[in-house]
Amino acid sequence: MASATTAHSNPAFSRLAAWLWYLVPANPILVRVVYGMSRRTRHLWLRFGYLSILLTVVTVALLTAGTARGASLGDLAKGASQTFMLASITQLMLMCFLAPVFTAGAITQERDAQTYNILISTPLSNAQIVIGSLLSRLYFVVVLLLAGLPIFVTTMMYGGVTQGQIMRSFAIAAATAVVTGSLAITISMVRVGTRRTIFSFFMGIGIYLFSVYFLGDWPRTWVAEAPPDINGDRMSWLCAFHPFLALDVALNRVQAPDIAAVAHHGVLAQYFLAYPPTMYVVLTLTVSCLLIVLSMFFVRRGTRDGEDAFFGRLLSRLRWRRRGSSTRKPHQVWANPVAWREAVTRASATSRGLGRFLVIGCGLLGALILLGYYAKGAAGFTAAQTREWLAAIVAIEFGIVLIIAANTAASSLTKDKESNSLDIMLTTPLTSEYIIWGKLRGLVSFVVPLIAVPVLSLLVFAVWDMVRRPTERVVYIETALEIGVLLVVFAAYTCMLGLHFSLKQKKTIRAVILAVGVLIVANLVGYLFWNAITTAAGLLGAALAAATPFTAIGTLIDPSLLFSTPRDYLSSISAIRISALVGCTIFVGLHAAVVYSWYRSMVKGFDMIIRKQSGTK
Amino acid sequence: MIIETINLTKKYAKLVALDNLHLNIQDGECFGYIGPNGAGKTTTIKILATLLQPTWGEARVCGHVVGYESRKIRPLIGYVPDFFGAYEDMVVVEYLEFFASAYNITGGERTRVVNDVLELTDLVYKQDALVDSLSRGMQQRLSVARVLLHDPKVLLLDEPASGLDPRARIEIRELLKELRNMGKTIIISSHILHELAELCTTIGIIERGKLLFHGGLKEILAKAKVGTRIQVQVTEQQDLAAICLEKVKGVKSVTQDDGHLTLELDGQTHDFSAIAYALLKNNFRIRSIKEEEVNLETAFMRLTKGLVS
Repeated sequence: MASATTAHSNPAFSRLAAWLWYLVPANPILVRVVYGMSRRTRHLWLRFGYLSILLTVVTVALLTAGTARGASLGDLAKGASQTFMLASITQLMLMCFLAPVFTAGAITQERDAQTYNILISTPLSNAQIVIGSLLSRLYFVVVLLLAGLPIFVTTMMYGGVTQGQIMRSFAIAAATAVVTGSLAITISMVRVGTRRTIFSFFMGIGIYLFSVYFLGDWPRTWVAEAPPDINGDRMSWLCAFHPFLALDVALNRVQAPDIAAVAHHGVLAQYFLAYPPTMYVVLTLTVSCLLIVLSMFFVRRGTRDGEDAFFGRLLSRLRWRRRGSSTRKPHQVWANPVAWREAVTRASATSRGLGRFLVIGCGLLGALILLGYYAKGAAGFTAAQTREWLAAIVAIEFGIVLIIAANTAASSLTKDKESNSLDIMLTTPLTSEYIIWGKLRGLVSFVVPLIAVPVLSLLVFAVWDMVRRPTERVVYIETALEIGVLLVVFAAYTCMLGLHFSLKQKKTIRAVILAVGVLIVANLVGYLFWNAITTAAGLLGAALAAATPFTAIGTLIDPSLLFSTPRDYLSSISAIRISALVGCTIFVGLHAAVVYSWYRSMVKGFDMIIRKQSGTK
Repeated sequence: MIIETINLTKKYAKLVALDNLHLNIQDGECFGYIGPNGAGKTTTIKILATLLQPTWGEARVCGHVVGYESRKIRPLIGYVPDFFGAYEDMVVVEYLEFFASAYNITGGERTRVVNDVLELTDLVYKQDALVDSLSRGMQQRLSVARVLLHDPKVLLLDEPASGLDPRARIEIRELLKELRNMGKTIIISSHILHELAELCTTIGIIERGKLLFHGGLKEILAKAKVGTRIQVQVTEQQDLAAICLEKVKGVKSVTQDDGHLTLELDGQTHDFSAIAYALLKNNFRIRSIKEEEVNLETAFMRLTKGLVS
């Protein structure tokens, strides 16, 4: 009562309370989303899917982790701890996928809906617009996190899991979502975001997560003061900068050093090394706050359009192709105009062209560095070790190629739909067969130079070994050719997947998210499942590996994985080569048949789907 | 008959966009298609452009049935949608060559045709410009250039002048007049009625998916002219003049507008002396008496009720 009176009597306090009230709980942007989005059937299904995955992981883990009747309390606690670990990793993986998906839309949403100018012409403050946009994007992700909480609490029943661990795991997941959302909002507010930026946003996040995680495995990043685990591995100093590395520490999978052991470092470094999960949360939230504050300066920057400001000059430098006049020298149009458009004009777009050069350049550079190490035998690089690295490099390169292919294919028809140019194309004599064939041909032409990089890398090693004739070769020449043919077929598969979503969806963003999501999940599940089969199949595994892209890359480049000892492997090389060649031929035929039948069915359904979409505009 | 629709009906779920539409368009006709928003103009044009299939009924273009013989129709038509379909990262020449290639025009023939249409549409100086950087007027001119590439018999133009500034509109109108004089059959939907009146040989009015009228401009004006409407201006006491005129034989109704009285007379007449006599007899001073002109706009307003499907 007394405080209420004070608030009443103090106008500054009342104003602050009102400002805070309208900043978050009564923020009109947030309120609209909370009322509207929470009732959407699609979101209910997503929530259902998320919880189903978590529940399945927890149930399976609990049933298989020594919690059966008659188990001791210690076994139960240990089982619960393992279950919690699995659930936390699953939750973070889902969050790393869902948070970008839900926040990326912010990059172009206002521009697409043309509501941005309306929004900034209202009395809403910059802070309200930025916070409202961010929270409305994060709302769904936070609801998902909270919905999963009861599942985590069940693991506490058996002991072995503490409240603190659950909180740390949730804090890491939530902080990851917040920083992703803040980044998307900043891109949106700075207004450099286009639909292509969404793809770069996904790629950036994916590359950061993978590359930093792998770097964390590199002994040079290990903290000497951290206690080693049973394999002799130590905690990396990158733990405070990466959600999965931070989670590893939170789950006690690796031990952080005691603060006393790192006392010789600076104060901040001490905390980063001794408390990585906490510092990860602090760091991401600080970065998020900085991004939010930065965004606030850009909300009404449009009022200064045309002025010669610093950022304007910077942006015009970045958009080098468009600088000055909006003209360029025309290209020669091919006999198949649809293929030409896919392969030439879309590929020549600034960011895409740059991306292709980056992928090709980095891939070739990586292979040459590895060849240098192998040739000199530096850092103890044997043929076996080089094979492992080469397989990893080719897998990463091809992973990137597949994502680029899926993104390009998924946007190929939706972009035509969004720009109304598909309608015009449909009034020409071009048939659905011609259009889809043209798209597919153009996409494969676009992707082939990218595929050439891993194949060239393999060929370089094969030729090097042919000339040097060492006792154990890294790869054989036919491996490069087998991988090349397989990669073209898998790229065609991915292009068909992208085209499928591009045909079925009306919006580019949704088509890209679905295509890339299905691609990642299918490859992940396919790899885990098929890899278990191939590694257990021994010599036959070399033939079976060609069924999925990443088992093919892993097993065909490094078939030693199929054998328990190097001697077994070396004695079976000829048999492996024959087995791989036969398997490769069979699976290339099978995959090509599937791609062709998919293509035929798409041609058949094309007119019907497009017509149906025209009727539901 | 170059275009013929019989009982053409299109439904979007429960919404009836076209309701048993009967339309006959002769070869070389320039047909202006008018109606309120949502009346079914775009749906008709999309069906004729083979982009939609009728729910039932039949549409024929150059004797070929839409849906069954769409492949034969496509080389014969040129379609300009209400929105310009811009391909990003394509320059004007590439855009035209792309579509020329789509119409199977190849080699030297393609270069010649592209140059011809660039000249005809006065776009030569923009041939290296990126399509998405063109102004709306230029884009619309490029659209017309595109549909001329394959020399189609029928041009289907869905609001080609919407969103254009006066100069661009006049330029497009002049271009269309030239095409009409070249003997093309043109079907054009537009909301700018006086321009249609100048350009078109026949007019069709559609509302709620039903064709209310189809015929020549003179016919539509005659149909819209029910009885005679005249405008009378007096120097003062307009209210009293209205009361006075209501009593005159042959006057059906009198309405007061801003600064003048509108009288609706029984039947067709050009003799307004009874009106003048009544006013003079009651000492009103007459400023003017004139017959209200019926143009396409007034005809449209009278024939439609402003209802949409």
